[in-house]
Amino acid sequence: MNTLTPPAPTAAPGFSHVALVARMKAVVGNDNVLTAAADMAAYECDGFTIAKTKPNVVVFPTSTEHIVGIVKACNELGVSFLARGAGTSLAGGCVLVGGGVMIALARMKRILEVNVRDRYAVVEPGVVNVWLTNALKPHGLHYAPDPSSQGACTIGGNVATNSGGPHTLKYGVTVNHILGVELVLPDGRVVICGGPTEDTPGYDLTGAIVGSEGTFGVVSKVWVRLTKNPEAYRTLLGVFETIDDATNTISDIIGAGIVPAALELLDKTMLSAVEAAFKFGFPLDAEAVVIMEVDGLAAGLQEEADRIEGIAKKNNAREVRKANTEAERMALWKARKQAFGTIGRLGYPSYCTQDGVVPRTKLPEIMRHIQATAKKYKLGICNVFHAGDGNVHPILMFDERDPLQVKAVMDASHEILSECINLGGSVTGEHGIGVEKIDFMPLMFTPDDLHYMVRLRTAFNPDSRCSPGKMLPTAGGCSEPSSFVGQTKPGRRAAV
Amino acid sequence: MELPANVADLCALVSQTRAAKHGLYPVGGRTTLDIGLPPSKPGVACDTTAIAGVIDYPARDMTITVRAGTTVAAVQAELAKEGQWLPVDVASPEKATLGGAVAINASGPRRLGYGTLRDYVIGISFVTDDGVEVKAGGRVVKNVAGYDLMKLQIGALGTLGVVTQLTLKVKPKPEAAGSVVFGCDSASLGAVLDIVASSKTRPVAVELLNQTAWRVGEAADGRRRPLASEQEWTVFVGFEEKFAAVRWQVSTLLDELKSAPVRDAAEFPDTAFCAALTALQLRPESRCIGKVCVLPSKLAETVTNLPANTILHAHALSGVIWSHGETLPEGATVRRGAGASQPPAWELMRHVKKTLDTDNVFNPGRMFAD
Repeated sequence: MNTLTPPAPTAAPGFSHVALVARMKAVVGNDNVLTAAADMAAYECDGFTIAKTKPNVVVFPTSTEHIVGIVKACNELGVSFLARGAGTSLAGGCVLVGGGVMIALARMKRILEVNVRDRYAVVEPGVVNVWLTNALKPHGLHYAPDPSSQGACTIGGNVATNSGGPHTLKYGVTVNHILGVELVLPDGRVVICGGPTEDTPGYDLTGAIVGSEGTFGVVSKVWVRLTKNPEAYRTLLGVFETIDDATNTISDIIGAGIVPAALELLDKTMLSAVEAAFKFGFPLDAEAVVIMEVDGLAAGLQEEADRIEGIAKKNNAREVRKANTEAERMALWKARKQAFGTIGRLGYPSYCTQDGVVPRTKLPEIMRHIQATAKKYKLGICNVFHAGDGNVHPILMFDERDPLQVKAVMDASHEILSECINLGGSVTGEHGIGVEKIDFMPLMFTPDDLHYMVRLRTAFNPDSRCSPGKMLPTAGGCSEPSSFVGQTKPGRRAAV
Repeated sequence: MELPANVADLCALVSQTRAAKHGLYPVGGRTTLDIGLPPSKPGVACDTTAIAGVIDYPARDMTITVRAGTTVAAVQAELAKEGQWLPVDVASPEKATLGGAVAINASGPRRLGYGTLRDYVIGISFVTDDGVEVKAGGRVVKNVAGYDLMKLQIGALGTLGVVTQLTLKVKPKPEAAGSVVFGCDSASLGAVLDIVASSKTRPVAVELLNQTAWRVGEAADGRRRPLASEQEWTVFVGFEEKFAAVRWQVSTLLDELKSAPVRDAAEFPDTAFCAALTALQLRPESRCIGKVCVLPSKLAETVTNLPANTILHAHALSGVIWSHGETLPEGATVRRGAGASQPPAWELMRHVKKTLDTDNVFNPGRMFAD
């Protein structure tokens, strides 16, 4: 078993830094290379700030040919490399384990084609998610996956992590909207998988590449599916006295055969921060509010919204408010999507966002468990999450200068994620495994499962030079802990 | 023909077959045995239908976990008890197994509105060439832990292992259904499809049939539709939604078509024709059945250039054309008959197969002819 496990990645001891920088400059030009320590500081980590590794060099390719040149040079010099979008990952997906060449794709930011009739667009990986949707506005179309960080995160990064967002409940996650990719393989060959026509024969490599956290190569071009805008929306805000009433409402809406566009829950602590920042008029004495949105054709939509209101009231909603104008609706979504930016108002210097999933009917259990865990460890905690998908994001707040609090956050996170597994769920719904959650993989998968995943990675990335040390435990399933980073501090900062 | 009673027996069978340097040919409901290329080495057929049954159906989570040898009809019957369904069209659902549907990536008219199996399979278990069962994904609707091996198995023609268990995301059954059928000639087909593509309505299916296909399909459906069969092309537009939304869409589309070059537009109170159109994909009398995929905007031009004596039907807004004739049309991917076009990533796919099935145990020859 595990005979195919690639050797642990290392930057070959003999490589010359001077030669590496010279090669990179030859490929992309002097202006597209960073080498000074101060310039590269931002590339040490992503939203998961505990794992930091300084790259040897940061390069900014502006074409597929550049990426090929970079990758080939890395192979010749025996150096690892990693592609990076905007660095909004919350799981250390952008950490270049062991050092090497950071391929920053921010300058590959062109929307190459928008085809309205055939409902697809072709974009470079550095295109920011919301740019695409903005560009599509005149056509009545949008790109459906809308992570809360969509103002910063890139389509290439979304492809790497198979990002979600509030509207995945009805519209699906990133992979459901990716038609094809151009991939620079770790040996420098370029392949096109899928494309704008459907049912390409053979294996759905596109589907496997999406969510592979950059371990199969560098995606240099993406074909995305475009979705017609809904004709109408009904956006409601249910106000609840208890978390249980809120989660029971969510369960009953789904149970009634309604598939809303989004069901997002914010708890009392989160509301106080959001309200302080946005003055939206949220009730500060409620234990939870749920944003409940249905969309689609106008015909029959009001009846559906009325049914949702009835279900909320039956579950003791104190009040159900309605967004009566598009401006009100946008204000509500702004408050939701920028909730993370307001956490600083709660008075804690640091916070750690978790990402767990449970079957949606288990939401009341996991929410009770989260509250009990916070109490047990005496931690501040708030919640804002994709309730309709069962995807919880407990935010543990603490002071990182106090080692006892830091340890408490680590332990509490572990307990919450373990409970997600116990309830039949997962340790990540949309943020990825990265380096943060590698140690959980053996809890979710058997050694045989992990060995098979290592074999698949080997088909693309035989010596693990591309995005080393991600997603899979290095031994392909044995229980040894990930060794390169001692997790002594939880991560913080991000939008979810 | 081997019939393993459970996964342990199947694992043993795979190990024996590999040791004997034979091929293992998994068989489900035997509905699509002629899809793909001929087997390339001797071996054993493995009937998977004993590994069947529902494992877990938490209806309020809108997910179901079943053994892969369960028939599609049995899965749908279980879901129907809770007013839910898997909105993917599979031909011969009484016989076809879910594992088989995954292997061939079955789909039909409703793919336009609901997507395909890759949008519904959220968890999978399968037996690998090592004779062990492995899994990926899980039972929750959102999950990015580990590689997405579900996608890799869908449409793999059983060449990467024997699928044993599947977890599906499912949907509530729509409240109502309705459809609009009309005819047009070749000269105006492109313009007509453009009108349907830009309609304010949101159809779940837009099917295009030539005259021959319409006659065959209508006969299979068993219900005469009051349309002149003299139309060069017939278009079927299906709606499934809330009752009010179906009513609105039917009347809106009929309005939009008033100034369009179409004839005999008529409405029907259901979308039952989707079943006959799905069945047509496996029409036993057809010698060669080819599938041609083009951009939807090029579909009219493509179909009007294909020989008129073939049976032609298409998922028009998805750009997927089915052609039944004596030979396969140029650019066809294999369904039945020899010869196929190969995508740019073919060599990489072959390499993936070699890496994950080193001794070429599973369905050797079916996809790569070696």
